[in-house]
Amino acid sequence: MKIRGLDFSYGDKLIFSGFDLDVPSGKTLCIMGGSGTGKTTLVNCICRQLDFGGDIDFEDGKSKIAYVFQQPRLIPSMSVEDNIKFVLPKGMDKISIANKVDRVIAQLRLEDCRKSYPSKISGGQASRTAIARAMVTDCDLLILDEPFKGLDVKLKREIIDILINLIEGKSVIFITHDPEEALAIGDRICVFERNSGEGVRIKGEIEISQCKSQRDMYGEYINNLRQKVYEIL
Amino acid sequence: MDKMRRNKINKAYAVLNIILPIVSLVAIAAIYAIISKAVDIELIVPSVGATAKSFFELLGKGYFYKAVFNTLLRSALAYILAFAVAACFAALTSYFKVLRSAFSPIVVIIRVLPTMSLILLALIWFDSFQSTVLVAFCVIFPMLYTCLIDAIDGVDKDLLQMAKIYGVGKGRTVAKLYIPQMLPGVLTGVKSSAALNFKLVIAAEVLAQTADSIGVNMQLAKLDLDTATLLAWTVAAIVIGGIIELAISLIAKRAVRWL
Repeated sequence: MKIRGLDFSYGDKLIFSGFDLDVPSGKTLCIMGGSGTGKTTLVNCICRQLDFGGDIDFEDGKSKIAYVFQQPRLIPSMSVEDNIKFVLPKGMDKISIANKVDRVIAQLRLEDCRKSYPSKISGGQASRTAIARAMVTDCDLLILDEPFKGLDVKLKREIIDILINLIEGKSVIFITHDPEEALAIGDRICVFERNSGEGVRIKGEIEISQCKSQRDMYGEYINNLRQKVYEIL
Repeated sequence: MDKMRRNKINKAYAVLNIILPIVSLVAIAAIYAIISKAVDIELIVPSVGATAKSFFELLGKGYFYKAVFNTLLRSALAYILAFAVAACFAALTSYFKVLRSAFSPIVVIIRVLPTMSLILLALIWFDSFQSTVLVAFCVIFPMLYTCLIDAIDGVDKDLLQMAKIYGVGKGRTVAKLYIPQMLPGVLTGVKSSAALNFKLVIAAEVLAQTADSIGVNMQLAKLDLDTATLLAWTVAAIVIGGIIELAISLIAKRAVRWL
């Protein structure tokens, strides 16, 4: 996906002015930066939720997006299973739906709560349901906007481990404030900064060449990158 | 140990929930009996026994069931009509927001229109059947419209955005998102307006002299100075209104079981 000459303002507040960004196909782009640096605004433009200037072009015209929000945004009147089914396209046959849903439920370890309503499940299960809902769609681009917000360290680690296997080979935009999450999940880390005159610009970029599933988070390679990330931040 | 204690407390609450309403009903009957005894004029405040006798006599009469059926039919007709029109207008004014301000004076006029003027005008313009339905419709419609508008406005915008981003169709969004999200608020509105609707139909029947209705039978009992029968019809109306409220409560409990 290529973003070229993106222009967007909230009234007088300039956010993007001629902003360019490439999202590498099959890779995870982590976007970091302080609050108000346009991270969520960027993904809202990508999802066509805002009126913007410039071009956002998808490879081969494919633009099926799945979005994991900061809050799980589950429909309270539907069970976990029905929340996952909700986003599947109309007209799909029942066997395909059942197979797809069963697969993501197993991948995200939601078997115990598949018939439960969102009010009866834990925060971790709700986050995993939101990820399952995104994964069931066979999307061209997966957007993860701080999906671990509010989760404890243990739960976050557990979900990151599941996610690493699920997103391998997918085009992903992952927004986070936490360098550890970015180093665990990202293939490229982009740090945003914004000033009122120019809008958002990329302050620094880091490439991570190591495969996600084989990363040693305390090894020399990641330690060096960690230092670089903190220097940019 | 804690669980056992909690179970015991829950059981005690369940028993109290059955006993307390019975106690309050007995208390009302007792207060009425004291007043009746103090006044000691059967024609003005008949005894509990005389009222109960009239009530059970009514239950044995064919015209009682005919009157109850007709009043319920009129109530249902007025209510369904009010709900359908309110739902259409609420949907329309939510989709085309500009229509909301255009429509608001109409709703305000209908809402503040004195019920008595409405009944009298309706009696001049329409027959007694149409008048009763129109009166109930005009009072219930603004209540339901406001309730539906509030329910639509209360639908979680984040969930709507989620559905839009995932490309969920409008039909499925309405069926799976709007309607369930609106249900708790709408059912609360329905619960309070359904019993009022029934009362209004009876009031309109009294004034419109609608044949074979609860209202006209109340009026006839009053003209005959048969206060016990008038009270018996009143008790019947209370029981029917109570059943309507109970039925809606049970439906509401089943309909919003995720809460």
